[in-house]
Parts: sequence; C-alpha cells; structure tokens
Amino acid sequence: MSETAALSRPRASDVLFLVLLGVVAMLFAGFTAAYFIRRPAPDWVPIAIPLWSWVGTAVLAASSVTLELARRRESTGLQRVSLLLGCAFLAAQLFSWSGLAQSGIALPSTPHGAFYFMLSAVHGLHVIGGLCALAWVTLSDRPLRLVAAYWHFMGLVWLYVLFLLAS
Amino acid sequence: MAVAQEHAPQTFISKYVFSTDHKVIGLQYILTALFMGIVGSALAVLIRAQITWPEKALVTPENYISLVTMHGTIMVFFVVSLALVSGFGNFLIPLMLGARDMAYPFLNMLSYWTVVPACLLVLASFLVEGGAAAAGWTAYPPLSALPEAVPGSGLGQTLWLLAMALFIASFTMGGLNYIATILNCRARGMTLMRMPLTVWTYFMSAILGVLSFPPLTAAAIMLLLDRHGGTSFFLPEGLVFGNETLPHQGGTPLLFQHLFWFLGHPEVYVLVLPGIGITFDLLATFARRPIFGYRTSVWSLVVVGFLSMIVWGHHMYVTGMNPYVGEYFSIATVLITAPFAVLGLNLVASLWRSRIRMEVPMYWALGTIAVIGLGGFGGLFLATSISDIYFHESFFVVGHFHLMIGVVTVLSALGGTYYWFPKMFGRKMSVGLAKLHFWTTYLPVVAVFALMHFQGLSGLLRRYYDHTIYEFQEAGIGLALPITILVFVVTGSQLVFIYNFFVSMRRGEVASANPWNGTTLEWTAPSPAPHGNWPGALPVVDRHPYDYDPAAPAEADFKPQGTVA
Amino acid sequence: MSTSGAAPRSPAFGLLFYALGILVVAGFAVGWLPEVSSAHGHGIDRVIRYLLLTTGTLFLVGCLVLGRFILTYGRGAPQEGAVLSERTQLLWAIVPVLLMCAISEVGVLVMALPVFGEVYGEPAEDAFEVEVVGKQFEWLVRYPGPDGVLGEVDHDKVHDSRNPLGLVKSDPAARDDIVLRGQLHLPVGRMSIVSLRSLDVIHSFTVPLFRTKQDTLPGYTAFTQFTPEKEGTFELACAELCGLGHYRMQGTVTVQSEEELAQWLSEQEPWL
Repeated sequence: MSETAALSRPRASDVLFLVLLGVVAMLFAGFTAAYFIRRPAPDWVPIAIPLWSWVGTAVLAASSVTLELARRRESTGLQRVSLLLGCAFLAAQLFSWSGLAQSGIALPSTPHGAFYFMLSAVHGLHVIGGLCALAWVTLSDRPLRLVAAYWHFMGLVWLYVLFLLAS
Repeated sequence: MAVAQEHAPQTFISKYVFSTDHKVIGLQYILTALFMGIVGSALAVLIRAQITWPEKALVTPENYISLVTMHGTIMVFFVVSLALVSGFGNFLIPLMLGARDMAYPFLNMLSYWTVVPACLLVLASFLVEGGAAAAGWTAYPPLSALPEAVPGSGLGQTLWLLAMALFIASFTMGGLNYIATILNCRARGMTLMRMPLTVWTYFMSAILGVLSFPPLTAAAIMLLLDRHGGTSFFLPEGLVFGNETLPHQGGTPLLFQHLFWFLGHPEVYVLVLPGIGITFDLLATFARRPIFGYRTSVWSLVVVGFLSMIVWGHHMYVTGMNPYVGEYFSIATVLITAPFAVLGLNLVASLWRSRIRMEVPMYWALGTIAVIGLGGFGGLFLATSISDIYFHESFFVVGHFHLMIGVVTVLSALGGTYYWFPKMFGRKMSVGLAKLHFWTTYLPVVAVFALMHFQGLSGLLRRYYDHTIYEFQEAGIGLALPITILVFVVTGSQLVFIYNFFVSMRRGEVASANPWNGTTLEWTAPSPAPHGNWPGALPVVDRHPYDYDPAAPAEADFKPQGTVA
Repeated sequence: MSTSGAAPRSPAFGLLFYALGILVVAGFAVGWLPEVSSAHGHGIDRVIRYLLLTTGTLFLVGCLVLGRFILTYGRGAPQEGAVLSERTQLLWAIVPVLLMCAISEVGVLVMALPVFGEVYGEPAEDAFEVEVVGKQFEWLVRYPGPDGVLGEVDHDKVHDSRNPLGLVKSDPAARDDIVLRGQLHLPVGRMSIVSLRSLDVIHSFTVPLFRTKQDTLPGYTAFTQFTPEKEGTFELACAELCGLGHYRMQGTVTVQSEEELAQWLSEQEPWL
C-alpha cells in the first residue's frame, strides 16, 4: 500500500514469500517424517537412483546458475535459457520414471520406489509452479528477485530429496 | 485521497461475486459457512435422533457413521474455519489495522473461490455410491483406505480427500495473506504491541495454520496413493477382508495418526484463538476499561501457539504409541494450561473496576468466558495420559472438544456478528430477538455439553449406532433424551438468528459509524465501510487499542485508537 | 458521536454465573464413575477424582468471581483506579502460571505416575497370558492350550467360519490352541496380560469397569495388563471406529477363581 510505504516494514511480498517457503519446508518435513518411520519395515528394498535423475540434478543446478546470472545482469536471454533448462529437468525426471518402470519398478512395487515416485512428483509440481512464475515474469518483464529465490530454494529441496532417497 | 473509491467495482459480478474487497469476501465466507452450518446442524439432529431412539433405526449403521464423519468434517473445516477464521478474519484484519484491504486482494478472492468447489465436493459426496466418507473426521487408515472396510471408503472418501486438498490450499492462501497483511499493512503508528488482541489471535492462528497443514497434505497424498496407487504407506501386511488377504505390506497406520494430529491439534488453536481474541475485544468495549494484562495475553498466545505444535501425541495415548513417549506428551500438554489460565485470568480481571454496559454482544462475550473455563479444565482429564485411558473415545471427549472448538468459537462468532453487524451493513440487529436467541442458545448449549461430560464419566462410548445393547452404557444413555431435546431447542433458536440477520440487514435500526463507542480503528470508518474502508486518508494510530476510562463521564469515557485526518 | 443513549444495565446477569458454576460443579460431583473392578483402576479413579476436585474448585471460584464482578460493576457507577501498572499486571500472571503448573503436573507426575507403572510397567512373573484379536465385528480370543504356547498363525489361512485366526495345522503348538468368539475368561486376583492384534482395521479393546483401553493395530501386537479384582462377568467393547458394525463388537469377560478357570479351560476343545 503506497500510503504506508514510507514506514520501515518488511515488504509484503517478502513476507508472503518467506512464509510460502516455510509451508513448502513443512510439507517436505512431513514426508521426511514418513520416510524415516516407514524405512525400518522389513519389506523395504532399496532401489538404485536412476541415472536420469543425476542428469536432471545437474540440469537443475545449471538452471539455478543461469537464473542467478540473469538476475544479476538483468538478461532476459539467460532467463529464457533457465526456463528451457527447467523444462529439461522435468523431462529428465520423466525419463527417470520410465527407466524405473522399464526395470520393473512400479509405484506399488517397493516402498523406496513409492517414495521416489511420490517425492519427485511433489517436487516436480512445485517446479512447474516455479516455471509458470518464471514464464510470467519473463513475458511481463517483472522483477526476477523472488522467482529466482524460489527457484534456488526448489533446487535445494531437490538436493535434499535426493540425499534423503539415496542415503 | 478518494483514490480507493474511484477504483470501486461497479458491476454486480465484480462487486459481490468475484470481489477482491476483503469485506465482501469476509461476508461471502460467513454466508457460505452459514449454509454449510445448516447442513452440519441437520446431520447433528439426525445423529441425535438415532442415538436417542435406536429402536426406530432412523438411519442404517453405514449411514450413521457417514453422518458422524461428515458432521465433524463440515463443522470443523467448512463452518468454524470458514466463518470465524476466514470470514471474520478477512472482515476485521484490515479494518482493525487501518489498511485499505488485504495485502493481496486477488489472492484473497482466489482463496475464497478455491473453497467453494471444496464445499460442493463435500455435499456431492452424499450422493455417490457407497455414500459419504465414513471413517471419522480423522480418516484413520486402514478404515479410510479400503472400500472393503466400509462402504463410505469408496468414492465418498476420495471426494473427501479432494475437498480437503482444496480446503488446505484455500486456507494456506488465506493464512499467507493474513501474515503478510499484519506484518506489512498496519496504519501509521500501529505497532505490533498496539494491535487489538483479535488481530493478534488471527496472527497466531495464521502462523499455526500455514505450518501445521502441510504435513496433513503429505498424509493425504500418501493416503490417496494407498487407496488408488497400490502403495503401502499406512497399510501393513495381513489385512484380511472376506477371507481374502490384501497384497499390502510393511505400512504403519500410526504414521497417519501422527501426521494427522500434527495438524489436528494446532487446528484446535487455529479455531479457538480467534474466538478468544474476539471475546477480549467485545469485553473491553462493554466493560469500558482497558484489557487487564494486554502484554501477558499476547505472550500467552505466543506460548500457547508454540506448545500446541509439540503436543499432538496426546490424541494417541492408547493407540499403541510407546507409553513413555505418551508420558512426554502428557507432561507437555498439561503445561498449556499455564498460559491458558493467564488468558482466563485476564478475561475475568478485565471486568474488575469496570463499568459494564450490558449490550447484546456482551452477553456472548461473558458467556464465552465461562465456556473457556469449562472446556479448558475438561482438557486436563484428557491430557493426563492415565485418566485418558478411561476417557479416550468416550462422550467426555465429545463434550470437551465441542465446548472448545464448537461452543467457544460459535458463541464468539455470534457475539461478533451482533457487534460488527453495524459495520457490515450500517444497521443494528433487533435487540429483542437477539436476547431470545442468546437465552435459547447459551443455556441449552452449555447444558448439552456438560451432560456429555457426565455421560463420558459414566463410560458412554462415542460413534455408537446403538448403545442400548450394553449394560455399562445404561447410565450414560439415560441422559440422551434431555440432550437431544436441548439440541432441538438450540437448533430452532438459530432460525431466530438467521431471521434477525437477514431482516435487520434491510430493516434494522440505522447505526452510526461508532454505535458502541468503541476504540479500535474499524469504528473510525463509516458504517457500512466503503470500498477502501476510509473515504479519506487512513487513520493514524497514537495509542493502545483499549483506551477506556471507567472514571470519566459516560459519553466521554473512550479515546479512539487512531484519528482520521 | 454516540447514539447508544442510556447504557443497559443488568447486574442480575451475574447470577447466571453463580448458578452456572454451582450447577455444573454439582453435576460433576454426582458419582458418575461406574464401580471399578481392577487393581490399577482405583489409581485411575483417584487421578480423575483429584482432577475433579482441583479443576472443579477453580471453575467454581472463577464463576463466582465472574458473577460477583458483573453484580458489582454492572450498576454503572464510575470506577477509579482501574488500570494497574504493567509490573503489577505481569506479577498477577504468575499466579495462574504457578497454580496451573502445580495442579496439572502434580496430576501427571505425582498422582498418575504410580498408576503408569502398574499399567505399562513390568508385568508380574506369574501373569496369565491370553490373546485377543479384533476383526470386523467381533473379538476372537485364543488360549495357548495345554502346551502353554500360542501356535503359529498365517493370515492367508484365515477363514471366517473354518479358521478365523488362520491357525497353521503343521505347527504342533497351534493344534491345541483354543479359539473362542467374544468370550474371555480370566482369573481373579492375578495379573492378566492380553496381547492384542487386529486382522483388518484399528479396533480398541476396552473393558470400562476395568478402566482399561488399548487399540489393536493391524500389523502390530500391542499389550495391555490389568488385575481383575472381583468375580463376575464384565462387558468388553470396541472403542475405535472400525466400520458400520462398530457398536455391536461386543464381548464378555468372565472373571473366575483359578480352579473354576482351570476347570473351564480343560472343557474347551482345541479349534483344529
């Protein structure tokens, strides 16, 4: 609100954004609790993390780098590259799913696999949300700051998920 | 500075349907909740009728547990949450903070229109094959996961889960908006420690809501996958239905309960704290003195909020959770009584050396205080793990949680309606009807739930289609008839309220901007408040929210919290 | 500015809270608890009575103070000195904090902890062991038979009428197991340990007169222990919503002397 803009308050968008990160963090905290409670069960058969997942991780990391550069240099070109890399990450995730399916691991097969499918899907949905936001700020030429921060955050969440699943 | 009004929407659609005005959205929530409340009350009446006259078999056993399940779900999520938290929260927060609107009006509108389909899904689930969800509002698997276990766990439970997902999305958007608005959009001079307690309670409620709902979302996703994806997050090995063993293995039903109650317990405070906040505000206005212990109240709210997130296990003492873990939860849970008792003391002490004006909203505020006491003390019996062995799943629990998340919340919402009605519609509600409504609601409702505590003490178990086949439940079920009669009285009494509400909207006595001589900022805006809330500049705050002086002459005993230039 | 005119006064409203406090506390004071019939049950009843006494007193005092304030300050007389200093208000907050911490933690740690030991502590060495299994919508009771060992079960062999627990024929320990529907016989004056399982959804084993309640989870074995004090029959019920027949998941517990129990057990045929 412009009428109270002179007051030294945190920006509403910053507040909204930080709490949103808290919400996402709590969601994955819930899944983490479930993961650790479920894992000791006797039917837990570990699966190998698909190669495509590691490729995707690298792509996602690269997209974070390009987006950060885009933000610092105010380059829409790099923004578009990040957008493409984000889509590539999702494609890699889909490849990793079909790879698992081909090796006979479906959703109900093993609990570890179920967690892999579920967590990558939930993360993927959040990435799709980020991609929509990124496309929107790119097309409407709005500030990149919070979208970039969200993107980095989802990158970190993916690293966390991968660490959880691979550990 | 008439900027705001120039942007006021003109068409019917943009003004009343897809409105971004927090006051309209607040009323949309309240009216939606009113409608859902009628549905939820009808279910309650059916439940009571079945319990009281089991020999008539008014409903089938499978419909009975659907009724119990949907009554709980509708009342908790689609009545109390919508009316008190989303409805009054939307209406009051910007007005009390001296803001033009919420920080994100569009997000606000989106939040409302996300919950509308959720309501429709809930209502639709009564019509599908197998009937509505029937696994209790807590939806414990395996019962909620397997259509083999109960007919309601077919499509009805799926719709229930989808409705909850939409509700959670809506509630999270609302909570984000509340927090951003409270931290960012306060008027000049409105420091955090000058906010009315109502706003403080909405602040705590929003924080608890956004942090505790996500783990439930996780649980709901896993439950959906167990139901439709063949996974075994919650389903162990060796489930036998109709001589067939299901292929699931390795899951643990307790996991769902932990995730559910991690939300479920804070959710109680999400609902009850705003009720307490509204009670404080009503009390200050009609006691004509500052709230006793404003600061200790704020800190108590913060402590209550924190503690509420680490005590969820007290719902699970007899579930097979390690009893030593249960003992921790017990020790931590009963600690909540300490900050809660501070709130209770401050409520009562706010009447000390006061000059009470016994207007209708004050009836509800005073009535709420006694209910907070009764409900709060009842909680100790359930929080102590050893006595909970006897009370778990008994009517003692039913009486207790209805008092806290049903009666405290609804009484304060009704008091709030009488109090803020002039700000909503520029008119007052009929005093005669309001008094009739109060007496025919308050006395029976307290009696109903006190009697349920007695039933629980005598051993009556909840969610029973027919208690009469047990000897040990005879004493308890003897109280069923008086309870049911009182429930009918309360239900009828709400028709008086609904009539008063809609008639007064058009024909009530015209109210001034500040009909109660209140101090908080909403009373500096015109009644009804226009789009943008203040036609001119925003108010500037220069004092604490409850600057009443019971020693001053009657008409000059208050100083508004802010002044409008 | 104001349109409210003469403020309504009704100090008599205070009487409502006098009446409310007295009636509610009197209502709770009626002896609603059914007669207890197990050793630890006395401890549970003691905790409940302790809480009734303390919270009842506080509720009554609270209602009386509330009513008194309304009677006194509802007359509309101006009041001087309503606002106390911040410090005084803070000091006042210490009263309920100390009071409630004391009352509630005495309840949990002093009153309840010894009972906790009886309910969840080490069982007696000579405890009588029996298995109770919940299924929709009945209680299955299994005694180990003469060999004193519960035999192997297999959920794939479960059949409602032929083999409700899925006893494995090839296991000699299973062949003498006694399986009963809905009737549990226990010795008087000796601790019983009931191991609890479920074949389908969550049930909860409760004998209200024993003040005992324990959920039965599928895929998990829970235990509950108690010492029946009196001979007679007691009702067993389900205390966790388990489906449409939840309300009729009834059973009986017969408590008898050791001799009678031994006699009765010897008359039972093994299931297989």
